[in-house]
Amino acid sequence: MNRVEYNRTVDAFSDDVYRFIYKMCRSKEMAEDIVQDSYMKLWEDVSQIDYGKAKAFLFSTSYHRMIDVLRRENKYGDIEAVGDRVEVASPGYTGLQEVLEFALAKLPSIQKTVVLLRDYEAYSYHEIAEITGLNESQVKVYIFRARAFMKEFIRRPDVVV
Amino acid sequence: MITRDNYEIYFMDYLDGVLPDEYEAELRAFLLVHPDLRELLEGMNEVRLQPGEEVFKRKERLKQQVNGKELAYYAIAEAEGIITDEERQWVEENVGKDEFERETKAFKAVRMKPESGCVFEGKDVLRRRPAVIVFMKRYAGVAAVVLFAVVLVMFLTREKEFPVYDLPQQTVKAEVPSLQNVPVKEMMVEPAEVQKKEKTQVVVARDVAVEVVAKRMEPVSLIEGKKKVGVVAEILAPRPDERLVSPYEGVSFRVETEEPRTRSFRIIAPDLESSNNILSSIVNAGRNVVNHLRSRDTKDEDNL
Repeated sequence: MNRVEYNRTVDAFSDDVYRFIYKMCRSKEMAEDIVQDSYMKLWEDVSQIDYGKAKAFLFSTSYHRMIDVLRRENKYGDIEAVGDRVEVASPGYTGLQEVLEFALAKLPSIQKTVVLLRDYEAYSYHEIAEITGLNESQVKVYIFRARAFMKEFIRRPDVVV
Repeated sequence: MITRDNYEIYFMDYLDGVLPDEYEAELRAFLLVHPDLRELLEGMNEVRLQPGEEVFKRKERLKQQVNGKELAYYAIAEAEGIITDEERQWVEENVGKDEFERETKAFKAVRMKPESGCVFEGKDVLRRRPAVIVFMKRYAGVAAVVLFAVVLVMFLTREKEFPVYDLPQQTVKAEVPSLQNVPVKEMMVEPAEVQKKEKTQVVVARDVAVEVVAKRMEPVSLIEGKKKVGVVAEILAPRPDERLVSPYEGVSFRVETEEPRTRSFRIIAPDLESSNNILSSIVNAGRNVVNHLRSRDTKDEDNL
């Protein structure tokens, strides 16, 4: 990959990576820093990475970078409970996506990661498994559990919360 | 086999529509047995997240721009005419055409031009010549010096040469008073019979005394050589102390001897008299001849 292709990845994938990290950590500053770090890592290895694999590299790097940052901060203890840091919005939301966003914030980190990669980026289970370091069966299980949680949240949000 | 431990995997494939037919029938049977899971599966497709509108606002900071050094590098390569196809492709992909041409033009303008008048004078010293020429040139000077020395020695040690007329000579003059009784037309002067080499000039005047000049060329080398080696100089011409007898009445001779020139020859044999070499033999032979002639002259005088 050359400089042009690298700059092309900035235009093509930076929003997706930023959105993914932002949905995960709910912090714009942290999301921006992680995206920047991820692209810096990509530039360091730019000559060894094909353009077709740049997106997966960025998501994988940013995901692990996010995990490292959260653990280093040790701010929230268990990384799986990162969703709890998000303040529960007012139940007065109107749209389905808002409810789902709220429900997403309540998911464990790993479930949130796989469902975001599946719904936002339409990654296959195999690709999600490569990014997260899981196997495909684990990915399917986490996604199913995340959807089950969100579906239940949609039906009875007050009970779930 | 679908169980309560692995049903989630089959449910996901069923929701994605990729569950094989044989597993789909088994799944339906499984759902009949487990109505709680049927309820869980229903409405699952409605749970789909839609990407948000969030955008990353610092994209430009992430992009790697072409810095001045890179642009200068490729511009110099273009100006020098050594840019490769790969580098040119990089330029086309990363740098604007106008910007690159402007940079290239700037670098072409600052190229130094060689000063033709500044040349190296010592080229001949640096050149390499064939071995033969080097050898000849190296020893030609030595040969010239040796030749000059030889010529100089020959010039300094040469034996001085002189023409025949510079040879020492003895002039014998015979002053002849005027002959009253001798008719002019019958007056006849014969040179003295001294030797064949002797040249005698007879000048006859009617009113003045007849002067007979006898000149004989005597090689100076012989005279000086004889002097140096201690041999008595013997000349074939009448010596000054000898009396020349004129065949004519009233004619007398006066002998004058010119001083010989300074010696300009080397002594060949310092002790020629006592040596038995060929030179002394020749001298002795000449002496015998002179004595013989002298005795013959004496006989002629007696006859006269």
